[in-house]
Parts: sequence; structure tokens; C-alpha cells
Amino acid sequence: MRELTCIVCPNSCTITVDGDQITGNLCNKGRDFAISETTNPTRTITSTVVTTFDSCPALSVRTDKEIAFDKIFALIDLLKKVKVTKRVKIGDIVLANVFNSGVNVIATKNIE
Amino acid sequence: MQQFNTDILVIGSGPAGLSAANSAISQGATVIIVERERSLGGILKQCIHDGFGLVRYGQKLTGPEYAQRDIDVLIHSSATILLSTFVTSIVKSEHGFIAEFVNRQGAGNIRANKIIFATGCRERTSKQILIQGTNPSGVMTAGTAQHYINLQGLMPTKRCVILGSGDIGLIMARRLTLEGAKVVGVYEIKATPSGLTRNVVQCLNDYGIPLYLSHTVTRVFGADRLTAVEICRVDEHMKVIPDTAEIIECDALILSVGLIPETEMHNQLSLPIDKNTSGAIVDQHFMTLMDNCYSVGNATHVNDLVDYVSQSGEIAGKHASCSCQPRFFVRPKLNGELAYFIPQVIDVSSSDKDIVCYFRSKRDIKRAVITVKDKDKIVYTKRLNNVKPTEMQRILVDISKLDNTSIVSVELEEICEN
Repeated sequence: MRELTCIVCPNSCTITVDGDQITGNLCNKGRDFAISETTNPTRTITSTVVTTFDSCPALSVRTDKEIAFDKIFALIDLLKKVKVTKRVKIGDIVLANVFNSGVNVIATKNIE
Repeated sequence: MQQFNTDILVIGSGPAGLSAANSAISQGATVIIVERERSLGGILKQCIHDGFGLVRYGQKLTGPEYAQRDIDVLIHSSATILLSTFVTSIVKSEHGFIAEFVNRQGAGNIRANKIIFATGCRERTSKQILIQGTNPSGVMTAGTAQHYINLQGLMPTKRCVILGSGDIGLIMARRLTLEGAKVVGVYEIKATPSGLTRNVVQCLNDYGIPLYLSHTVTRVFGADRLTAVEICRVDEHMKVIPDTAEIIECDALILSVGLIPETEMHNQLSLPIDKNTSGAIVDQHFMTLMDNCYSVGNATHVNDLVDYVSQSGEIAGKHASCSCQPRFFVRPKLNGELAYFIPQVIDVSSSDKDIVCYFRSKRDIKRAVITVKDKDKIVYTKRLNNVKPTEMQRILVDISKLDNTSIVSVELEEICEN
């Protein structure tokens, strides 16, 4: 039996997972979170990468899907090597298919 | 001299100001929005973490993405946008308001029929909490650390202590850890965390960052740069227990010790302030006690979610685009465990049906009931689970049966069940 705090929304439900029994979640997203958290925990990662633009020394980015929890620091190391030299817009891919996971790192702001 | 005339002047272009401007324009009003920074978006620009917009868009967005949606609407609208422009004074005139400002072109003024304050909130600083010792660099608010890292790409610390467990402090603990700093711990004077539970879980527990409840920083050391802090445990009355002192070496002390509505401009108009929220007293349309003057977003009360900040701007913007009828207030009396309740006054002359109300409790309550009454008649009642001071509650109350003879009270009570 495991007790989890759901991080999907601010309700922060306390979910109990006991074998196949999942209780305490107020919605189905909580159920999905509990399954993922007890089998293969994942997170959306947000960070910044450097650019060559004075108006935007740090460009904020995020993963477009969740990545495996144990890949977080490896991803951060990859992002430290990125330098953006072209103007990008929200949603543009900054780093494609990281670790062959199908997850892209995308810009979350426009470089004006 | 730059001179402008407008129906509605919005001060501040964070989420509250953006949505207020957009909603007023969509109703046909002319709008000027003034922003002191070089770009629109307010504090969302530096909030690069995700979790914004779940209520409004059903999506988990980052701060800049959330802001951009409103910015895209605004810049394609008829709004006049004044950036790098600082409002220096506001006075009431015969027909409205006159705001004086300065920017790179010099001084100017704006005559507006109505004004919407969307000035946000400020972080409490080290000057507002009592810490003994020297005055070294390296003591900064969580928002300042966030600005350095997320906007300027600079790391302000290698090894730090975070005082206070507000949401920004928790989010910065994770951010600093990911960027390679050592966060020795988050120290909270209260016996419970100040931030949302999900942030304690995903920002601290995920990265093994310890949270020390009932602890505080009592002294800082260092001449030019911070070298260490002294930490003490506190008793149940938050009094320091001296023999628990412990010295922790660090080069930064990051403060997340609370947010206070920014009301400097409200004060120029002598608007009454609610001592419970530290923001202006407003009715259900976020109009203050002065006709045609509104206060929205975190300038009115500190919200947990940006979605509700935007919503307050929307309500005010829409209302401000209509002509203001004479108002008649009833002032709900607060009972029981309510820390605050918004609106502080209800305009019963309006034709509103359901109005949005926000409140917080004074303490953690497992099972509670909120009741709105007119004399002895129940107008609204709802049972709530896990009510906490740190988590704002929101209800829709039908006020169509209230009139100028109503005596309204709001009560938050614990339910004891066997």
C-alpha cells in the first residue's frame, strides 16, 4: 500500500494505491497520475537555455510531454549545452526527441 | 507634454491588467494600459514553471505562455499600450481621474473616466522580518532570485538556505537544485507549510530537499557577502528556543515570507483598505468604495491561482465598460473561522444573480460548512473538505433575493461528526 499526493492540480488529493485499488482521487486524472507514479514516474520539466540575444539572455523552455523522472538531471545537462542563435516563438522546438523518448523541448516565450 | 483621454485606464499589465483591458475592449470601451516595465506580462514573465491555466484553459501552461495568450489579444486590439511608463500620481477630477506619468518621452497625463488598479503584490523583504546581524549581500527575496535565474540567466548562489515555505520559495528550491545549487533546507516558522501541498511534494520531496517546520533564521553573518546564518527552533507560540541555535554556512538566504497587495496608488485616493486582506475593499465587480475606481487581482487579495486573478480582471473590465449606476451596499458580517471574505461589500442594486466570492479560513479544518444568511434565512450553504488558510476557496452565491433591507452574514464553521 502506498499513499501519494496528487500533483495534477491544486486540490492535492491524497491517493491511496493498494494493488489494483486506487482511492482518494477526486477525478480520473488523479487515477492516471497514481498509476504512472507507482509504475513509471514522469514529470514535465521547465528550465532555461542561453541565447545570443541581448534582449533575451535566458529563454524559458519546457518538455512538450512528461519525461521519466530519472532522466531529469541528464536533461538539464543537455540543456546547458544549448545556445539559441535564431529567433524562436512559443512552441518552437529547441531540442528534438531527447533520449529517443519522443519528447521535445520547446520554447515557452517569443524572442522579440 | 503627452496627453491622453480614455474611458478606462488600466494600471499594470500582469494577468489582472491584461484581462481587465481585454474584457473592457471586447465590450466596446476605449482603454489605455500603462506598464512600468519594458514588456507586458508582469510577474508571469519570470514564472517559467508550469501549472498555470488549468481552470481557465484546462491546460498546464508556463507563466510566459499563459501571459502571451492575453498579450496576443491585447496587441491586436484598439488598446493604447504605454510601456516603460510609470504613474507618479492619481487624483480624482470632476468627471473621473487624472493620472500623471513619466517615461522616456518625458512627463504626461491621462484623463480617464474610470480606473482599474492591477498593481499586483510585493514580496515581504528582510526589512519586514526581524533578523539580527550584519548587512551582507546575498539576502534576497525568492522573486529576486527567480528574476536572476529565469530572465537574466545568472546564478545568485551556490549554497543557500530558504526561509519561508511560500509557493515561490518552494518553486525556487527546485529551480536552484536543478541549476546546480545546493539548497540546504527550507525553514518555516509555522508548524505547517505555507505553500500548496502539491508544491511541497513536487518541489521538495522529489529532490530530497528537507523542510524544517517550526524553525526560523535568527541571525546572518558576513561582511560583504553572506557567509552563514543561524537557525533556531521555535515553540508553539513561534518564540525562539535559544539553546537550539545552529550555524549553517551558505552564500545566500532566500526569503519566501509572504506577499502583500501593492496599494500605494490606492492610498493616493484614500481608498479604504481591508485589514484582513491588506488590499482595497471591493464589491462583487471589484469596484472599490469610490465609484468608477476598481482594484483587481493580487492588488486586492493575494490569490493562489492566476486563473482567478484573470477572472477578477475580466469581471471588472466588463463592468467598467458599462455606465455606473448608484450603488447600494450591504456589508456581510463575518463569523466563525473566516480569515477574510471577498467581496467585502455587496452592491444589491445590481441585477446580478450569481456572484463570485473568495475566502480563506483562519486554520486547517477537515470538514467545514460555509453559510451565507440574510437575517435568519439561508441564502447559500456548502460543505467543504480540507479547508486550509493556504488554499483559497471560491463559491458562487445567488444574490438576486438580497435587497437594501438585507442583513447579510457569512459563517465558516467546523462540522463535528461521529
